[in-house]
Amino acid sequence: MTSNQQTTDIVIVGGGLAGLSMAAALSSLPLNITVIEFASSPLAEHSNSDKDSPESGNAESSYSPSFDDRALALSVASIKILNNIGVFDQADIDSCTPIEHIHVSDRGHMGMLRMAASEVDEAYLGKVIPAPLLGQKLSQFISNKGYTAKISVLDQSQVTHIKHKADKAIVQISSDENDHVRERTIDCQAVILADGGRSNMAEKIGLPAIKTDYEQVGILANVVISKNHQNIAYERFTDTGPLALLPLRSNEFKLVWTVEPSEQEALLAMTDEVFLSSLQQRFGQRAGYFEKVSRRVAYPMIANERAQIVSGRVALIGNAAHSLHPIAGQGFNLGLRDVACLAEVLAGQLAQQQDLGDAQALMSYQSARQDDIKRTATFTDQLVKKFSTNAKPIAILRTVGLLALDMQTMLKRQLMRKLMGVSGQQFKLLKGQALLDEKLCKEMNKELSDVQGEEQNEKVQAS
Amino acid sequence: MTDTNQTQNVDPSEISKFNDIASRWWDTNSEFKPLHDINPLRVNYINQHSPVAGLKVADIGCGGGLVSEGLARLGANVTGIDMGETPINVAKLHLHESELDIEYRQMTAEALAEERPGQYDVVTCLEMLEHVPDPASVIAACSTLVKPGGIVYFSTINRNPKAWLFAIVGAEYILNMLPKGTHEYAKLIQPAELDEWAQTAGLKTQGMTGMHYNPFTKHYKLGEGVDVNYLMHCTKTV
Repeated sequence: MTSNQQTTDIVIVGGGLAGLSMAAALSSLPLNITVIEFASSPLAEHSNSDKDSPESGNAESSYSPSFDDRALALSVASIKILNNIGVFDQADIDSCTPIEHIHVSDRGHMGMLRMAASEVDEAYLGKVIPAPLLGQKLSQFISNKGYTAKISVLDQSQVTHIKHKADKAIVQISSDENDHVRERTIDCQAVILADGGRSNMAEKIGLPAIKTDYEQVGILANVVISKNHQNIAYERFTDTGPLALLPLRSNEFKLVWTVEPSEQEALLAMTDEVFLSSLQQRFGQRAGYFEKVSRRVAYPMIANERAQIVSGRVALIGNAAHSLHPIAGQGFNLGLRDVACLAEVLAGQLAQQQDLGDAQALMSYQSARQDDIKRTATFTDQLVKKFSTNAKPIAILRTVGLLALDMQTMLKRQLMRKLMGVSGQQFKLLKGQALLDEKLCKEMNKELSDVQGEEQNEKVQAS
Repeated sequence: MTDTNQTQNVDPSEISKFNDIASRWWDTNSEFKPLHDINPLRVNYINQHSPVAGLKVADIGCGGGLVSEGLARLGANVTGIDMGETPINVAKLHLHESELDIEYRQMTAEALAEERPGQYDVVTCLEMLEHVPDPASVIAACSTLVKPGGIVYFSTINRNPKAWLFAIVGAEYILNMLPKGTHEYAKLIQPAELDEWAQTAGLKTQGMTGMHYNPFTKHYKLGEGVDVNYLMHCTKTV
């Protein structure tokens, strides 16, 4: 029986893609990490459930594709970060679907913008990966590399409270264990909140969200098309909102279709056949004929920003820090840049043997991230708002704008670099540099495992 | 204005102004929205310059307790005082919701200073000085309350045409962010005046930063430019 009062260096709240990416980014450092996950996780020490959380995947079995999978567009920067952490090897990168072209068009207007990876001397502008596969890669990375000694996952658990002391944070956790609730506390130096956009933990610690309700609903599904997608991603602006298609397996697309809330019910209820023809009518035939559609789900389109993403010893990353309209596919990429930045700040504290939850250090993470977050959120917001109206003056500007954009190569290149996520800050994890001096890291890791060994011995002796 | 109130350094009309609307203090969509929006920013500013966990903090002019709770959440032992009966009751009531432990009392800064001189590590006095008849007296009381080497934070609104335009005309009359009559131009305080009062009280100004509001993005941020809202932190000379 383990104690109900434990100590670790860092607690990560949320074992989804952002939380596991954070754990993976920190895995090489001499740190003990506890990940608290609401759902069940294959990484949990005593996983007491058969079902896997859809995001975190399964560490043991291999990924089996499903037509209902959520898909993510990874920017070039994100792929580099995942590769440098070690989550992706070249074979993994090769197996993702590349986006080689992006076609931006406007329903009922002549504007059309084409972007190609070759224009910026890259092989691709981004890559698409099924979200469960990425979850599984992250889990496998943590379990296969033997990091489980340093990274432990408490699943079916919820953080109920975070308390600040002069030298530590105390995290109160309530876990479901075989039909009874176990309460425990974990003392740590820093808490990383990665529990997604719908969590209220950020609110609880005094970081309220500034909400933008687009009064739109996003219909998400996967669709099969009559011909090969040729690695083209489509972004089409219609009077009711933007529609995006991301290339998946050879003739499959991930669809994000923003519609007015009044249309939601009908679009979910109608037969696949009627849905496909409505989609065809709205999108046109430039990509071929829509033949098949997966299960459809609808989400209200709400974006959240927070004025501050740090409070005391708590730092927010990913959707907990900012959630965006999904149309530009920037959400997870932005979150991964949070991960790269925070990992670097924490490694800096380690190198100087300073408090990981130091207010100055975490505030420096916040100020390093604020510009990128603000710019990406504004970019996404403008994209949605400017292109979601049919008011004449804006529609005309839109047509002119799109045509002008195609001509203004400079501007276009900038836009593309933005989409690729390579124009922003240069993190060590992006450049492929070690977070911590290798020799120092080795020594500190050895110390850590020695301490763990001693603790293990003490435990054995005690029992 | 009665004699007692004058010796107590309180303006009854200011107190009633806040008593009347105090019930909505924790409603983030009420006239207190700007305070809610700006709160994480100022709490972080304070915690960055003086990590408050385990420290004794006095919050002068605490109102409904936004700053007091923010600092208590970060581990501070907070005493919040205000002369408004209703705001203090609202603050006390809200503790049931936030499950924090804060001492709230209805009294003046001068009275608390007499009772507990040199007992606090940190004193905060935010958006308060522009509502009292004698700000210098409050500043002196803050200095008395803090330990030698301790830190005192003040925030208020500058007095110049731009501040008048932004904080009074803009915020109260155009954007309706604040109730009309929240601020009176003559009571606003220039940084030089604040600095001088602080010096006289034995405090040394360490830094000053502006608090800026962008009405289009609805974002607040700290930064250079103290011509409207500003925050100042001082240390008590040993």
